[in-house]
Amino acid sequence: MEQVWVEKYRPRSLGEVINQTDIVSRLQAYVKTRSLPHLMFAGPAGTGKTTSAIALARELFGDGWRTNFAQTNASDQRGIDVVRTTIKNQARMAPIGEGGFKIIFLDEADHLTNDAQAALRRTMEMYTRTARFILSVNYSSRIIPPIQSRTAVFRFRPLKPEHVQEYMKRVAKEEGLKVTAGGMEALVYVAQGDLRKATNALQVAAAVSSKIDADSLYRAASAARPEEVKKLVETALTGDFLEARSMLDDLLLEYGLAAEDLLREIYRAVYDLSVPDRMKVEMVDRVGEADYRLIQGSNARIQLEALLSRFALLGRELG
Amino acid sequence: MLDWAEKHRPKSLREVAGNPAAVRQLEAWAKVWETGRPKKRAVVLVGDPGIGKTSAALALAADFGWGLIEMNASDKRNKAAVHEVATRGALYETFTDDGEFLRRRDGGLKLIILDEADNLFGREDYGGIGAIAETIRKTGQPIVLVVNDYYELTRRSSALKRLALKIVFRRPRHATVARVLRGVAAAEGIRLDEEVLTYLAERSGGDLRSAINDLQALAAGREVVREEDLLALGYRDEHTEVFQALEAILRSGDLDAARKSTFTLDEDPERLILWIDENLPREYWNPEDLDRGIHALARADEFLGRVRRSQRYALWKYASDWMTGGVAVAREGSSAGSQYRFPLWLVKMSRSRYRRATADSLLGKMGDAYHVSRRRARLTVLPMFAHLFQTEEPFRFFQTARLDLGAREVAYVLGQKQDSKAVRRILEGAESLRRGESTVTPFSRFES
Repeated sequence: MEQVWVEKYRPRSLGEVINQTDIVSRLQAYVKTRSLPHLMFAGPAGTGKTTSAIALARELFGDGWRTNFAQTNASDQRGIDVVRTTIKNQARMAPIGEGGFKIIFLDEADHLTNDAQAALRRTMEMYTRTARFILSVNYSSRIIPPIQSRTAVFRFRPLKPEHVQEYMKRVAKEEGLKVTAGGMEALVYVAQGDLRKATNALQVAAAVSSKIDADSLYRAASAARPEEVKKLVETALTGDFLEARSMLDDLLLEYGLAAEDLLREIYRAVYDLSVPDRMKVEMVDRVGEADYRLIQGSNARIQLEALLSRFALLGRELG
Repeated sequence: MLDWAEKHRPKSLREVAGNPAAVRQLEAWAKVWETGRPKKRAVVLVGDPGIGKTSAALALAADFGWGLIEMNASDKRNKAAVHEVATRGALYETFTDDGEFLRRRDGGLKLIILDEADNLFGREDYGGIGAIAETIRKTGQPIVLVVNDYYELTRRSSALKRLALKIVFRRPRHATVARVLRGVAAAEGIRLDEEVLTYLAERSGGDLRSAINDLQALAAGREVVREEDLLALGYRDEHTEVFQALEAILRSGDLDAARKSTFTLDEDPERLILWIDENLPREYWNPEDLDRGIHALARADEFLGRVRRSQRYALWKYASDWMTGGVAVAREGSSAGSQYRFPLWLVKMSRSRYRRATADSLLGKMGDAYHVSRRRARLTVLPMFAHLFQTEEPFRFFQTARLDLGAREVAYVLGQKQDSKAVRRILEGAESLRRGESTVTPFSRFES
């Protein structure tokens, strides 16, 4: 086992992309006519947006596709500067070969600020001759209307269990794995419609044994989940605020979790706790409040502390 | 004008202020060099800035009549220079370049001082600290490393722990600082009010260098420094001021007192909130008080966020009011009366800077290779990647080569030190894979 399977088994051609048949046939039509508008790929994680963009580039440009395909992740650099520098430079460079244009793939474009999106709109217009944009987003509504109206929108549907199974069977066969029926069910459960997640879990499980059952999969899936988050919540509930805060610092700094991602993990952890359901509801309400205030505030750590101190209060009811 | 702190460095170990135990240790180590080779050929002088570590090293060389090679910037050329001198010195110690025989005292030992060794070569990816360790192993010359943060040094190389003798310097007491200041003033022909002396000594917190610098600044163009000169120069003790503000905010329970405590304070609200935040949970022991207090801070933080985004600094007053008055009225029970502390968050931030930068570059490489953002790489790729990396040898070699990982990144994923055997083995394995020496995986397979 050398490679990361998500990459190893990423479909190379549009035809191999799972489930999105309508999208694929429209994209194939672009390849045939060699003309492409700006595109927007909207849909949940792990449903084939990046894969389709790369496959499209491969079919348009052949083996040298990398030279005419530029990828930028908007969630890493979400300000206006990334549009003014990185993206503009990518757009302004002439395409290589006979393609006539290059593809600029903007991953998680819905993380761009509104200002950045406005700047992007101008860039899209200015360099239409040499560059086509593909914006990948979870929610198309978070993209400003002027850009929406300039792109052809493709909606990627969440994968159904049978599609997850179809793909995972393919991987298992290639890797010589025996996946039990229970293991397959577990894969579908772990995936929640996201092939990336399922593939990662399968790879971790396969490192232990080539026989994969439900048990080994769940263990693999939890290996990819920071156990510390649950401990953080439990510690806060005991009322030891200083200890909880110290754990929080570790998660933010040593572990390096972004505050909003940490909140998502906390949100999940709440439902795994053995506390009364009524308390879970209240805890999740506070998580939501913190999540909202994170956007408003300046220092995320203080907002997260406020969440922990509230958990400490709630914890007193547990006796 | 010559820097007084430089000019009045101790000329001999006997003149080093405070730290008698450390000085004795250092002297004992040096004595072994006079007759042979100590088992540990280097010492690490550890301690806060400005308390006499470098001075002690310089004084040591003077006392023993050793030559001196001093390096203190993270200049790459130094690495080669250190290595050169340290390893060649052993052979040439008793001969000049002309081959003339020299007595040890004339041509003999050279003390190599690596100042700020915790930062030396620090921005480089790897190799720097390793090179120091290597140099210590081979050296024929005594080496002194001077660091503020021992942890920062040994974190990158556990070998240094074994190779070098650790000598800890502590902050000298106020009385000691005052004595040094008195000596400097006398030498410079300045007369000081006793109050000024006490003030400067206390303000320094044991940092001799800053105390002498302050004295020099105060005394410029004066022969006598009186207490009122302190005021004229606008000197204030920032920490004392913050502590006074904290007193009003956390203990007075009075809205007005809390609000007013910050009017003359030279801290912007973004920083002040960290001070309050650090100390609030130690002070508000009642969970309800604590929760109300922290929610006041959270509210203040929202206003800080608004200022940041709108650049409307007029909104700062609401942030200030929440973090001062809002916190003050949040407490109904008593306060704990604990000692105030410097914001730990800032310390942790700077501690983890290197680690965070490593993670960032690692995730960037993962993101590029596997077509995900850094943030998603952290969440979905890194956990499984680290798991497989730790358990599967072929995966380790292949990925290190494929992503072109350096020692610091491999060390990060592995949870080991950069100069550990495990990290070195992986880098070597990846290297031979890259050169195509392994039959299992030809290089072409990296190109998908």
